[in-house]
Amino acid sequence: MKKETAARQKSDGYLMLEKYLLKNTRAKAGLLILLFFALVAIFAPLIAPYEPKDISFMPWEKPSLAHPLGVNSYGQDIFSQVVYGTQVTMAVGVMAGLLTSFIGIFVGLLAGYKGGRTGEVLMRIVDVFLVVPTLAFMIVLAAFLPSMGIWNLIIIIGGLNWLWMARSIRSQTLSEARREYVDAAKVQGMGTLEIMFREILPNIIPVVTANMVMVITSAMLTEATLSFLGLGDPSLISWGQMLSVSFDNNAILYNAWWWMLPPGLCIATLGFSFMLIGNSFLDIYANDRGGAVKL
Amino acid sequence: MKGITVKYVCKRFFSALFTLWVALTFNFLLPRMMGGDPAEFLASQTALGSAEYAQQVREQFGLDKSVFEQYIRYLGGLVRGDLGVSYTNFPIPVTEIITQAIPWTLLVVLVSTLLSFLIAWIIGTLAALKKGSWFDNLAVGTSFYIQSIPYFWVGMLLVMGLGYHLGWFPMGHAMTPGAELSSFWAKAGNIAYHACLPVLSLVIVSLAGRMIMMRSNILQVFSEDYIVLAQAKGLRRGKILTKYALRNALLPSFTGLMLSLGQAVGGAIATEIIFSYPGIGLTIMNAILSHDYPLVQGCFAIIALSVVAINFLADLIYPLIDPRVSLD
Amino acid sequence: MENREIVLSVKDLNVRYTADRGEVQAVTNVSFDIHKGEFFGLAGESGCGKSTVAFSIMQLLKGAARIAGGSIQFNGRNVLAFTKEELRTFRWEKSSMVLQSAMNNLNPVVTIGSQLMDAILAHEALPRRAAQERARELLKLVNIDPARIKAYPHELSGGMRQRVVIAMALALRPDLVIFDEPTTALDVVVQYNIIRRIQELKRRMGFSVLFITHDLPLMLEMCDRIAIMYAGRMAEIAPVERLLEGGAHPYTRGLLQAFPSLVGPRKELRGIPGSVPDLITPPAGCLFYERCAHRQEDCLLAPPALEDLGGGHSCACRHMLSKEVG
Repeated sequence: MKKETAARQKSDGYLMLEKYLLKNTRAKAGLLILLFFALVAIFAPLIAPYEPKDISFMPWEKPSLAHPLGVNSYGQDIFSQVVYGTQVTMAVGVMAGLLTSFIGIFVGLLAGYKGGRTGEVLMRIVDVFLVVPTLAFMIVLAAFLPSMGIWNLIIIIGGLNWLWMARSIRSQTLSEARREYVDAAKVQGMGTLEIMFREILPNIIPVVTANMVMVITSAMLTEATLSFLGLGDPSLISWGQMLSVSFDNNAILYNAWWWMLPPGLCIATLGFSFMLIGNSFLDIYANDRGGAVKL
Repeated sequence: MKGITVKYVCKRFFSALFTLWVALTFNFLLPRMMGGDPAEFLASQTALGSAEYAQQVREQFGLDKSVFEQYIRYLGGLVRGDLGVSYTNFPIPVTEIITQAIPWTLLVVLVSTLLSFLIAWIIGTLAALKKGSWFDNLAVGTSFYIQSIPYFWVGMLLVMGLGYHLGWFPMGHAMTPGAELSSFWAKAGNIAYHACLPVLSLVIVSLAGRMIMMRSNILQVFSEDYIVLAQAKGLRRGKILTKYALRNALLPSFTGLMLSLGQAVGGAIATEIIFSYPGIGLTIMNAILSHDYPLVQGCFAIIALSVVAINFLADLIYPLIDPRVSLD
Repeated sequence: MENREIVLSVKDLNVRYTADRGEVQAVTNVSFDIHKGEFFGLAGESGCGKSTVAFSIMQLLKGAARIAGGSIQFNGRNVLAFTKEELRTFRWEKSSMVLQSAMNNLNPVVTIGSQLMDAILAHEALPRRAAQERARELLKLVNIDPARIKAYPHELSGGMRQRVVIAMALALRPDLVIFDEPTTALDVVVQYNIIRRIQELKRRMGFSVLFITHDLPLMLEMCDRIAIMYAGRMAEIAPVERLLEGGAHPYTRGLLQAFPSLVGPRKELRGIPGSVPDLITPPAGCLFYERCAHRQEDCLLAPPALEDLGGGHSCACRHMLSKEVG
């Protein structure tokens, strides 16, 4: 038993990595797609053949060698826009997702571990807000904000999305809190926060990651929707923003499929990769705990 | 089966009322926290554009009173069903505009949500029954992909493909102009025809997540002891599936159905824009673009109200179908 | 005992299931007979394959598990060759089953009455009224007020739920009732009541019982004969009297010695040092070798076969213990 613990501590991180990622085809495929988009985002200036806002081309030009995805109604190269859009979409998705995760993890752990009055009140609040239609609320909020920069976007999306995650983390924490290691930590005189973050959190990392991945996907989709509704930052080029512009400029009537398809496919594919990763994490974790884990 | 107690109904009702109050208070506070003076804005939009006009507007909409007084007036108005007067369509009350829009949204949202759940239940059950088969793999794989597609994008593609290109369906609006004068059935047909694409676009995307959920619910139930015992009892397959497996697997998704009915009202906004569908979503977006704050607030109040009402209804129905729910 | 009619005869049963690392030899060459009216016990540590045997008899093995060889005869008919419809009628009419966990045997969203009636109506063409009357009778049989026929499982205590399942198991007067650890998760008093009830019903109705548990002292009180399994194989089958004298297999002896006194409090089977060998790549010789106090070199040659010692007693060991040893 002792030897086992020592071995576990030695390479805990690596074992987890191996178990959840390297030995899992689905998760690996997801990670590969994610990596691809991340590289595109990082090296966007090198990959994009033109400046994304350069308007020096023939409007409505169909895909060609010079413009692999054609030209939009303003005479901008769509391929370059898609490449640069990766940056904004991923940044907003990841940042908002992280913000959501911080709140969700904290509230969930606190409500699940502390329980009692604090947990009760926290969950009551969560339940009340769960009923409020989130997207409509975001739209109203975005509408009343004097200006909509990328930070406002991140804060609005990230700050209003944590309810489900808090719930899921809480229910997982509730079942973890009954395990022996928590009692052991209590006996050792660890504080509440210390137990929450140093003992329980590492044990529910797969659930946290799965949640985080879903939250990032949903943040990406929300960004796309808000941008589409004209509530994003019009100076930014994101995939959602591109779809918005294409719709406003009657791309449908010009039959400009080359303008509408790529951003949507990119969103779907990136979301797909997140789904693959999150879901396979959950499956493995559920197998470990001998039953299904609900998000 | 036990009946629902009065105490239970009261408890749920007050809980719903509390939620509604929270939502409506936010609704009141938001525009006031954001700064900016709607009266100035409105005055600047008109030819008169003067300080006097702004003052006049302020008085007209009660914006010159203290915030607390405004809040009381706001809540009082809500109780009386008065949501104020629209800035842009000046003499027309907000309630009147919303009453015209809400049936369209309800139609699309109700039909698409119910349809999506129904299809998801069927495909999810089949996939679970044939776990590991090509059908299961295809259904799950496709769903994973579709799940993260922006639903408005599907709407755009449908308009382009089935609407504009093939011309099978109308590209927008709730009915052909003049159709309201025709016979009841012709009118109903016309409305249904126009609702096809919006409904389809909402169904396609929401189907995916629900199907995955249903499939895992069924698989979970299949592993329960009472299913093994039902098999050991020599029950026929159909009976095991319906009375023992499906009944237990469907119950959790009933709550999901009700919750998503609420979220779907907000979710249909982009769809309504794509199809120029004259529902609450189109109304709220137009109101936002023209800074018609009373109308924005009114729309949100109505959305919040309908969501809370649907949840209250779900709370009342759920104990009737799940005997385990305690009634206190 | 020998001349009584045989209800169930299991011969050389082999069950395998596929795991990630390879094929698990869950049950290997298991044979035993159960006579009419006999109270037959099947004991062993958890994971020894005793539940797998029970599920094989009912043909309820799940997914990855499959019967790889052997035969199961019920009243002289081959269970493994049944058609779907034959199997459906065999289940519950001939052989019924009370499952392990006391908590989850019943469908939580259907009344117990309806579940009782389902069992009856699946096998007999009765009007619903008559089926309902039968369900009431069955509840009375296990001392539950028939008025509770409309109750949902969650409205009953754990012990009552398990009694409902027992009533259900007797609904069609089967020849054999399999009890797979029917009293786990129940407290001692409730356990005792349920066991008493099973014994009394068996006396009254004359069915045979296959009783599976890891609680050996409990078994010694109730059973006529007991089979002891180890690592998927049969170690020993013996009449209770023979076991009370100590048993012939070193494993049996170890189990019996793990309990200081039969009168004292019951304990789980524990106290034999060592662990069960891996069933994916089992060792060539006797599987108990590693833990055996009486092992000798020839034990490593091949797994010992079950040897008939007469009087319903058989044992699989090269160096059987006599009464005075130990």
